[in-house]
Amino acid sequence: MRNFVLFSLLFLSVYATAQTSPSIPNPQLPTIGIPQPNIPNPYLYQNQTRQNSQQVNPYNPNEVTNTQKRNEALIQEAVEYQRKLDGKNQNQSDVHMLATKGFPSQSYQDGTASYYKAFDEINNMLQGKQPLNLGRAVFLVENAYYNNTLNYDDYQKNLNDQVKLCNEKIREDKLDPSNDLVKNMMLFRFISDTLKIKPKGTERTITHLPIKYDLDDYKSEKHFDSHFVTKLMRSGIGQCFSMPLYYLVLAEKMEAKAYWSFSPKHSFIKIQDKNGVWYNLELTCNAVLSDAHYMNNSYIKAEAIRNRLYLEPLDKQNAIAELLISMAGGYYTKFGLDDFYLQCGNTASKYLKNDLNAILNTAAYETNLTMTLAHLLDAKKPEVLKQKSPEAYKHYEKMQALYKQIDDMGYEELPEGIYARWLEHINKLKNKENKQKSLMNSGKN
Amino acid sequence: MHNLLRTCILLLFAIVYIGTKAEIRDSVYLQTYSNIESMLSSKDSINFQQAVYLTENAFFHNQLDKTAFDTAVRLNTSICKGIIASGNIEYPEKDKEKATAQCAVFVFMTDSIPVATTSGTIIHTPFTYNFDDFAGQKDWSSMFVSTLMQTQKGNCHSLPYLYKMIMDELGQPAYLSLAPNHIYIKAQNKRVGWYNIELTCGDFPTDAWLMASGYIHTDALRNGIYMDTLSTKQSVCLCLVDLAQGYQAKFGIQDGSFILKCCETALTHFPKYINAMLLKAETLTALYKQSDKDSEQGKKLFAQMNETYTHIHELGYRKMPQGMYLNWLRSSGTQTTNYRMKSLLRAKTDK
Repeated sequence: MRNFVLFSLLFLSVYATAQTSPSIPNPQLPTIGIPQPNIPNPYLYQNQTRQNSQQVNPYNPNEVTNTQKRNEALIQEAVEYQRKLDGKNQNQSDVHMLATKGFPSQSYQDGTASYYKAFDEINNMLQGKQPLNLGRAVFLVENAYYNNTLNYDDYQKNLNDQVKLCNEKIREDKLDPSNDLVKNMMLFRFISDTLKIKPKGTERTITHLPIKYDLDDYKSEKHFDSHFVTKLMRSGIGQCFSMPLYYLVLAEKMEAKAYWSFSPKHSFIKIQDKNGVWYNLELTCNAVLSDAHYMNNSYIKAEAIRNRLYLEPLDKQNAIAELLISMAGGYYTKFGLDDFYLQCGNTASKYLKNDLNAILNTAAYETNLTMTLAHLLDAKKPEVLKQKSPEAYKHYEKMQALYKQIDDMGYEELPEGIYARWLEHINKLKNKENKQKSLMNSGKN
Repeated sequence: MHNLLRTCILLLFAIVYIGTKAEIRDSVYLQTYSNIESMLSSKDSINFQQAVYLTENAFFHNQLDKTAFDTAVRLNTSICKGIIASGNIEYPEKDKEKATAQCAVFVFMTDSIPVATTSGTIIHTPFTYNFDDFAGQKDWSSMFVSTLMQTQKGNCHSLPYLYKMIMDELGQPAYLSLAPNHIYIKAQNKRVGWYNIELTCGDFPTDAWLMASGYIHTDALRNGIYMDTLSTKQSVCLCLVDLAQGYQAKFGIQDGSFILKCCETALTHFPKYINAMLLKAETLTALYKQSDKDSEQGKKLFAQMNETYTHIHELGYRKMPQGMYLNWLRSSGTQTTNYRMKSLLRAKTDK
């Protein structure tokens, strides 16, 4: 019993100590009084008002509204907090959706259907359900961008007229119309030189001017369609994408063997003579150039050649697969990224011998997705992303893997200096052209 | 009778002597071959420096001091370490250690370097190009790293070999790379990606330049017979063909068996080694010319020869046309680096 009392006391004292230890003076120790100066505390009243601030001061005419305001502020704060919570939830579900399903489909937008239709037809060609037709594929890609407003018959007729001119010239020059090299050389002249043609049975002479290089928008940045073949056909102006494609479309009609080939940020034509020797036709400046010239000008390294990234002749299937990737570019400019954009690259890569461009496409998608996720999660570093959302982090890993794959292929960005040199060259050409223009104008005046 | 006996004894000695000589000739080279072969077939640990030493030692009748050779390489490496430690090389990227080593060894080999020794500072002068015998035609040992370390004079064979050995000692990657009649270094770092080091004139030629001036067909690049990085194993295969060429410089083709054996083994481990294929084809041609062309043996050689040349052509190898070589001769008076480089590359095709 005594033990119990002792225990209880002990317990109580411990409890009390734990609860209120600072306020209970230790009885064993004498309290040392701190001398208080006899000066009125200047803050005394203020403190009091603060302490009593929750009480209504009936003498204050503003007191009521103040209270109202305060209450409103409190409500506001609560609402904000709730909204923040909701926002966080919304954010989280967004992150989850993006991480698991990727960017949402844009199929609800007007004009996407044109793209899906074009894709199906090109895919049929690639799968062999439909004959490979480069001219048709070019038309499909560009028509999708213009939302089905181009006329295929007009396009065909225009191309046939050009082919007729070429054949007229071959006949006029008494060349062998069945010779592959003759056909190719005529096309080369047709696109990059001035041709005077006298059609049979007429007196008049037709002058066909070379396709002009688009100095203003050769990168197709100002207008997306600056690299379109149909734009070239409308305006007589092209650049390093549309000119070779135009050549190939005409070559297809003339049944001449010619191949599309890439160098960094550039494309041109490859043809082969009967001895199997390859020639590069540079349509933008009317020249036949060596492989070494391209390597030197675009800083292509041996690794890239060995991995067949550049200077490879692409057959028709590969060329059409590349068009799918360019179609994805058009879709992106109009509607942004979604599963269709990815599908174009993935389908192309099934048929491409060298799927660098397809991988670059996928890498662009993954990079965008990763950055969006990182932004939503406010993760400035990959480690934070990993911690906040492992499923979002998976996209970061995927992105890294893609870039490694690209590096391993021997792909390197053009050194800045090389590109600057190119721009300088373009500027010079532009100045020259402007000078000529002004000379001609002054002559007229 | 006495005379006959004396003649017999003399004859006997002569036979024994000739026999021993042939045996010595074959034994050093055969031993070296089997040493290098066991490196390639992983019976022995693979070591480029060791393979180079063995190859040169065979040429010197087993008289090349291994310790002196290794010490010389180590000494050169320690000077390079000094350059790295000096902190004079500025490089902003993360792979600083690798890039600094690449730069230091280049500077060491192509520039004058002050070296602090116990007897004061001495200047280590750069290695120079051996214009007198750049293809080892007067003396095959002009191609050797041991010669380079003794005379400071080298060529496109010994200079890149030494560069690689020093980088190996430093534990940093550098790769030998082939161009027609030429060897150079390929290296990679974050700042510039892959680049080429040309030690014969201290320059960094672009791939396009090597391709154009070296007369390399695009197919040769696609097939990786030129301008690819060589692994250590592939580099050791180079030594095996060097060994065969040293043998040929010393003893001639003989019955061709030793040279062909070296080529075959090199091709087993490095199937696209163009110089092994070329040496094999040349040797087969020489044997075919010696043989009775209508015999079974002659026909067999002809078929083998044709097969090898066809394969070489398919891989994209093209012999430089005579006219191109003459053009070079006319332009070789020009003193710019490019022309100097061109001359180095092309002069060797004269062989």
